[in-house]
Amino acid sequence: MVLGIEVFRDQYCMKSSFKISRLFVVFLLCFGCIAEVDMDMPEHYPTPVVNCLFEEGRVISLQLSKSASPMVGEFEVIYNATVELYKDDCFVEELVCSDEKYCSECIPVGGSMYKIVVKIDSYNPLEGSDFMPDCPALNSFRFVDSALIDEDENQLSLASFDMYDDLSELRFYELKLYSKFKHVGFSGDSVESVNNITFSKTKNYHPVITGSGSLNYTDDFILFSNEAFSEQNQSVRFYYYDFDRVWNHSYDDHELIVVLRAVSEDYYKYKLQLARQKFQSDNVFGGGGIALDEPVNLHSNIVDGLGIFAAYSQFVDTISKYNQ
Amino acid sequence: MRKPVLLIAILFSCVYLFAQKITISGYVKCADSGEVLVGAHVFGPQLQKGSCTNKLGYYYFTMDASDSVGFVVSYVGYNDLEVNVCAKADLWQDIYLVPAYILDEVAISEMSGNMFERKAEISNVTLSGEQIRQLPSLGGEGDVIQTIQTMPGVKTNNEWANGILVRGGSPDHNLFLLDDSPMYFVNHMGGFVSSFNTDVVNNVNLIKGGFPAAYGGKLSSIIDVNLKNGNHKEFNGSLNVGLITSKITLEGPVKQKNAYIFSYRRFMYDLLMRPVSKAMFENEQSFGYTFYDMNFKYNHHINDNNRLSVMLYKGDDNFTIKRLVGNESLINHKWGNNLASIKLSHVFSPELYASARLNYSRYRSVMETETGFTQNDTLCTEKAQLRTSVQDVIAAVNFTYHVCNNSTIKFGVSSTMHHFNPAYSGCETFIGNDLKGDTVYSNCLMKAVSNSAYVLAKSSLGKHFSSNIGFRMAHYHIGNANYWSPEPRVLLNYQIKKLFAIRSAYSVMSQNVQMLSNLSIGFPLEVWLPSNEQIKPSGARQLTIGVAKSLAVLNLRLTIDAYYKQFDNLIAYKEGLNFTGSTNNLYGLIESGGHGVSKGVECLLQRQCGKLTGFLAYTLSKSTRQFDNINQGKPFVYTYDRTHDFSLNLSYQINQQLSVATSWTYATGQAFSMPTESMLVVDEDAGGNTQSVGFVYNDINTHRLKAYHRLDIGFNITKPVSLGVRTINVSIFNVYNRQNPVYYFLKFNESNQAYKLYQQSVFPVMPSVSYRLCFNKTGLETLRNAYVQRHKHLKTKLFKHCVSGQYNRFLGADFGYKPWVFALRYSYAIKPYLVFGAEYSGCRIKKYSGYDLSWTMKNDNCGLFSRIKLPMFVFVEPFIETNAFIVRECNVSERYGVSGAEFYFSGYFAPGICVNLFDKRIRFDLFYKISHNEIIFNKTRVVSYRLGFNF
Repeated sequence: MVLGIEVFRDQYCMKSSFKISRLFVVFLLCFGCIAEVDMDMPEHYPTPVVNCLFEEGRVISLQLSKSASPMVGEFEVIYNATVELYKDDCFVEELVCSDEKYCSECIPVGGSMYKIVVKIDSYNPLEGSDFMPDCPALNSFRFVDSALIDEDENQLSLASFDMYDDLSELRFYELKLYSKFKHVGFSGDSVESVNNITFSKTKNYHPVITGSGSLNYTDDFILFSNEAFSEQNQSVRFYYYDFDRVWNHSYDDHELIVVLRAVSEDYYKYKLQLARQKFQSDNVFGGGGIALDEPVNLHSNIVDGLGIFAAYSQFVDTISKYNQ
Repeated sequence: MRKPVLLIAILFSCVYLFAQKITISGYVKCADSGEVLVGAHVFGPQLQKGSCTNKLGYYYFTMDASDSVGFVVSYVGYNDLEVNVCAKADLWQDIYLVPAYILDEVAISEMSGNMFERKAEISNVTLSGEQIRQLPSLGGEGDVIQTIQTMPGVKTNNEWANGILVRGGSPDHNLFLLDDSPMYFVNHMGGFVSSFNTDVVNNVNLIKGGFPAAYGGKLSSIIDVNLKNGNHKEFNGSLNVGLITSKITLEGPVKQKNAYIFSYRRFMYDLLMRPVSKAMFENEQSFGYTFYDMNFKYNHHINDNNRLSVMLYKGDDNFTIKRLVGNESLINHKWGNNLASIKLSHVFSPELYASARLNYSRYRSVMETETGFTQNDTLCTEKAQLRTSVQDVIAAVNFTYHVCNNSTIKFGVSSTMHHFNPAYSGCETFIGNDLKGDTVYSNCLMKAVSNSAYVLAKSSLGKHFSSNIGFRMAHYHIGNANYWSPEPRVLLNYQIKKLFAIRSAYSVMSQNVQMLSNLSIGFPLEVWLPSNEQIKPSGARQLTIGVAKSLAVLNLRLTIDAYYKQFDNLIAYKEGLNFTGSTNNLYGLIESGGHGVSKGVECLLQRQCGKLTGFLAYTLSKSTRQFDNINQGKPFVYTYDRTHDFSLNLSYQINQQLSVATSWTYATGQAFSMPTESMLVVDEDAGGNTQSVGFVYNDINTHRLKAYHRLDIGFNITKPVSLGVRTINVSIFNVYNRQNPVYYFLKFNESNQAYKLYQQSVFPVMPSVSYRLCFNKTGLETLRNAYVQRHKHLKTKLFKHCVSGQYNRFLGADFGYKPWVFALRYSYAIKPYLVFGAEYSGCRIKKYSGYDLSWTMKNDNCGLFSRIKLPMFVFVEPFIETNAFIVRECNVSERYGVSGAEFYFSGYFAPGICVNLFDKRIRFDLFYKISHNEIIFNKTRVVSYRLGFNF
């Protein structure tokens, strides 16, 4: 429009006019907008780290290590510590170190409080405790294989389950699914595989599924609490992808392994924050690294140390496609 | 009881009784356009009294009936006007100031300098629209927000972010007013461009401290943007084409005393982006981003005592991704504001001035996804929507009572009805066209009411002392909660010498609506959340002390302000949480009851007239936050705290045609959190390895990014043309290509098995150009006459022969195909309205495949056509064309050679337009082919063109 008026002006008014004949617009777009930064880090004093997620009905296995400077990728494992296990404030046993892990003989049971006291030379004793929740009550689980084809032409499966919670207190849960199927291996033999399924981030709107926000950070599992339940017998519906099975062209009968965990609050917070910290590693603003725009601290319940000592009890069921 | 009595005594201490007084009142306006001049000084040197025009340009002056008094009216960028009055009765006198010839070096007159020191204002900066337009910025044209960001005490999040941060406040602590209507979202393109179109901006007033009692509702600043009223003298307008935006502005009088102004601005590249992205992704998907805004204002002069103005604003950003293969899907994200206001101002008497207004403001951000999928061989659609919105309806009445020249009392009330829906999410499922499911997952509709009443007294006691003392009472109601916020405002000014004054102010502010923003990076998913029973309104108390000094010889004005500010009841996301978009429990994500402290010293040195204008700003400040459950309850440095902040803006008018403007900014780096240690963590989901690396942060915001600095330069080349004036603006953003970090990140380096720290920067050096053509009625008439003459001349000119052609890639091809289309034609004009010709055209479609390597489909057409056109238009000729041709089609494969050759007859019918250029020698035909056969890729209707040469 403007150029049109310019042309009119030049041609019809017969004036020797200024013409924008050459406008050199050079965009020097920098492809190297990422640059390494030198920063002096203060001297680092290592802190003992406890790593232990323990399950009802299985021995407690715990790892001890030392933290390092954030720029270092190697960690020292501690072998010579004394780890005492208490159940409901009563001493049970001293854990034995074997193959980098401290293992108990005691089998944890639901409804009990477990505590560890870790003594390491030249450090204050570390303490961590957690309450073992009771096994979750999964009433039913159904799934429809390849219920939908999404916009990318991927097969979406639909699953729903009913579970019971008396809603008397705040409880936390974790849901994981695995697909078990047979397919033809490289040698031509029939091979059985068990793979993680992927929860759909875009097709799931159920408040129980989206309530914790874990689906924003990971599609491997779903964390939820009974805060989002509308009734004691809660029905939940969700969509998922079974990529590995589809890629292996295994469309016949297969099984879905359902793992529903009742988890402690420490476990819930730890997994949520871990998922978020890991998400930062992949997010676009991290440049393939870990963005430092908003700190995400990992939840820790270890006194005078770092790490986690958290409990869960789980219900596992295997459901066949044709025999649900 | 003593305090209220004292307050009332101060408020009315300014009331003097004079016998035989007369008043002179009216509007101060620009002599060229009739635009009112806001904040113009009216000063009587003999009486040593003066006043300023209000937001509508209204002034008021009193004198003894017998006096013959001269007073001076001054305004930045205009010549001072001396008015001598000898009147026996009240007088209505509109005053017209003539714009100053900019190359005149005029020293600050003692009168206007004196007014600067006498004014009871602190931490207050007023910029005219023209000043803002002159400054360089990204995209070639000055921008309101980018200019404000260079002021002392004002910071920005980072280069790629929206919002401003004033004196330690958050981005939501600023009240943006567009002609008194609050605006919630003030940016386009995530912060590149502000929502304020400088073409329609009369002036911008930034208040950071010493808030007059008339303003409230936000904690940190008022950015009061006043729109032009429109040219009352003659019709004119401007066209602007820039690298980022293009806009058109029209303004003019309606029946002499009324005026309108209209402006439309748009980001144009989506028109290019959509087809280009479609071609880039081989027709698999297309995307486009655009924004636009539209301003309209109409001023109706009912009579000298009554004026009515109507203002409308609409602005949106829109981002769309469309997937075109498989089951089609669409993501559409739209966000922006709608504003409307109607304002009536009435002069009851020269002393009493009133205005009543009704405003509507809406901000909403809507993300819609439409997904197609197949279920039991039926095409289904799922439409999901995520929406956050806030709507305000405001009614307000304000009164101004001029007690005498130096004393004014203002009072008023306002009531705002808020409608919030911070997080709506829902989904509809269609099987075929039937709605099968309609689910609302979260819907948090809330209503709230904010009321306020204020009274303030501006007065001068003696020659040296002036004050602005006021009190505002704010009430907020939501659900069962009622909050009352008494807000005293005191501003004292003591003029020690004629050109030197000290000032002090104390303000209490409250804010009922706060914003939760997802990230520091400017995504438009900002959620406005009202205070409720659990979350109290935020509050701030601010004490400011400053000095003001005019250096008359150098035309400089210096202000130095020191401030101390406390915040209460701030909100933030709980540590480690952010908004997930779909929740019924938004308040569960929030940490409330936060405190903040901000303190600093600001220095501003301004030169507003002469060849060289500009300002130098420096701020030394510190800002902290403290929440019980964040950072273990310890105070931490606020993310946007900048210890040093410096900016230098200079504009130099070299001659009447050429001016240069430059801006250099420096700021301490933004605070960020650096992990203090790393550790092994148990991670069941780490791909079979049950351990991964985690990071520990001891304190928040312990480190700083590298310092930020940048130099921008802009040139304005102005030339009078027959239409009016044209200006070419050439700007260079970030001249020395400083890579300013937006954020840091850690990345694992495989070679030495350790983490390294990297920075991400956004904008390198960026040159830009904009072209502006200001036209007026005379210019348009000249052009019209020239056009008519030319039309007559060209109408007699008929070229009989024409050769034209086409060659380009076809943009609507299916995935995996590379089609090229071509055409060559000759035509002969039998009559001016009838043309016959012959054409050879076709296409070559290449398809690559792994097995056959490649094959090409050849299509050749040969035929005759006729065209009927309307020759009454010389430059643009509408036409209708019919074409009949024989088609030969075949496939040519590398492996199998030519196959599948066939012949058939076809034709098309095509309406179109022909644009004649360069004395009718060159022509461009654009037409829309409609055929009963497939033209290309199963399409029976396509747009086509021919570029031709007439002879």
